[in-house]
Amino acid sequence: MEKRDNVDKLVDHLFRHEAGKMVSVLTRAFGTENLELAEDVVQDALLQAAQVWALRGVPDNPSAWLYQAAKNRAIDILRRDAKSVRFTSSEEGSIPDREASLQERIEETWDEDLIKDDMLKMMFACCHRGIPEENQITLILKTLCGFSTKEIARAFVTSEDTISKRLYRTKQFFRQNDIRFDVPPAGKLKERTDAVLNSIYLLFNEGYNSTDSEELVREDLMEEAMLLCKMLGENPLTEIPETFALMALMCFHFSRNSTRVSPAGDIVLLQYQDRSKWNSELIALGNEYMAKSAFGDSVSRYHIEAAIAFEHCTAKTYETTKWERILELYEWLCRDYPSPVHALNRAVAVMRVRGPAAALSALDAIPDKTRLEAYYLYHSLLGEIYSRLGKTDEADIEFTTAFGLTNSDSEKKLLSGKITRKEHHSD
Amino acid sequence: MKDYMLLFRFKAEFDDSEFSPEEFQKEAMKWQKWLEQRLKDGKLNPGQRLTKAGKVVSGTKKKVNDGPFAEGKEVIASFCVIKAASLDEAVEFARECPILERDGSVEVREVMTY
Repeated sequence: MEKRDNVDKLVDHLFRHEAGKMVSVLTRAFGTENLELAEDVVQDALLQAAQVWALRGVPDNPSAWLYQAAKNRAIDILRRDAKSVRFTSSEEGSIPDREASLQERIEETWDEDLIKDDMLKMMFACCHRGIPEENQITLILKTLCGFSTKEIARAFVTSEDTISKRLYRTKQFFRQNDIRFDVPPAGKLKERTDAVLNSIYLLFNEGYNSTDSEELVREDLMEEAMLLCKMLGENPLTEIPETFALMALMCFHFSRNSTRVSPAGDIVLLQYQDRSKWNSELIALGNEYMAKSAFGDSVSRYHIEAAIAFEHCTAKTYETTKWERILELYEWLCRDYPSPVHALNRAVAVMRVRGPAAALSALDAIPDKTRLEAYYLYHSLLGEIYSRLGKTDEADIEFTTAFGLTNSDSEKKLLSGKITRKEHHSD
Repeated sequence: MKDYMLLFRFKAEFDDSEFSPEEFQKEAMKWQKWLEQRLKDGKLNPGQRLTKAGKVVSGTKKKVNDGPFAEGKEVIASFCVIKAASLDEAVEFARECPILERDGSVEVREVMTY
């Protein structure tokens, strides 16, 4: 066998992913109230690895090296200032006893299977009901995915300060509420798994929908979401149909990723995307997950959304897309999982199947459409409808409103192209 | 072939302790890519990194200072020894050192043979 190059021993994002594992293992040992301490230990271990490996080469088993460095560092800290570490969890006994049992806990259980359990528990802790959704995904990125505050800020197109505050509040929540680092009891497992899936999907959508951050950051977020979901799919506790349906959905969405933005950074609409560049392997993988998701009697929103994405991914051209089937699926989605955004998407399908006038009535009929009025896509669709109806002035007003509601440069560019174009829509 | 010691210095204010995991990995890989070939050819004696803890003892009064860590000063971060045909070759090699991207320096010194 050919000797691997030193550098090849480090797979992509090894540090980042090992950071997520180590933070999880150490949080099990220290308790969620000491998450910050776990993060500090991991940071030290990574710093040491980077400094030593830079000069001496990458060790044969980089992960084991990192774990050892983290263990040593954790035990150091415990010896030096066990008293300053405030433990609130159900630990009994004197400080020396606790210290000894903590040391034991840090020494043991660094094997892959147990690490996976710890990561799952970390997911449950991050997605606790008492934590706002945006804080959940921020914490997931920080702890499980090994992103820095700066990197999260860049991914979410917000300030580092905002991210620091979110992290601070969540850690405070852990401390104040004595959140257990554990798998939820059987009766709560389904509900809590749903919350985790919801966060994973949010994380994915941050990447999928953000047209402002750079390509690489967007892909990173999507990949991280998929890795976490895959982990859930591999764990007996969380391998439920919804998990596989979400995985399928993300595979289908991701398969079109490289064609959604032009090299110049402009948005490419579905009808203009180069379908030959869609990732057929991912589409096939999505199909496999779809098949896996088809057991039990639950049809989640992920099942339906995956079925819609499947129709798009497998249509040869935009024109030959099975719009009737897609409309049917959107109707199902709107009935079982009503939301203004689903209704908006349904209206797009209505326009394809029944024309702009029907789409306008569909939009009109959305019960809580006031909630959509601050959403640029709502106005952009209205603009599209008016434009097709030949009502150029109304269309311009809507496109202009949409322009004012989005912060994304590429969305703005797309919209301004529509505003200045005064001729009737022809497609 | 002669031995040359490479002394790597960072500006005192350089701080990699807050790098992100991704940045750590990229930095370590840059160094490895730079050193790798020499290591394979047996022309590198792997070096050591120094921690930031240190003191300096100086002068006839044997004064002990807290180390050369004042702002703007350069601090030795690590060292290694390479084999090269000439000082020029060693310097050419040093020119590719990743520390230069971080505004650090490499001092190249021939090790005396006797």
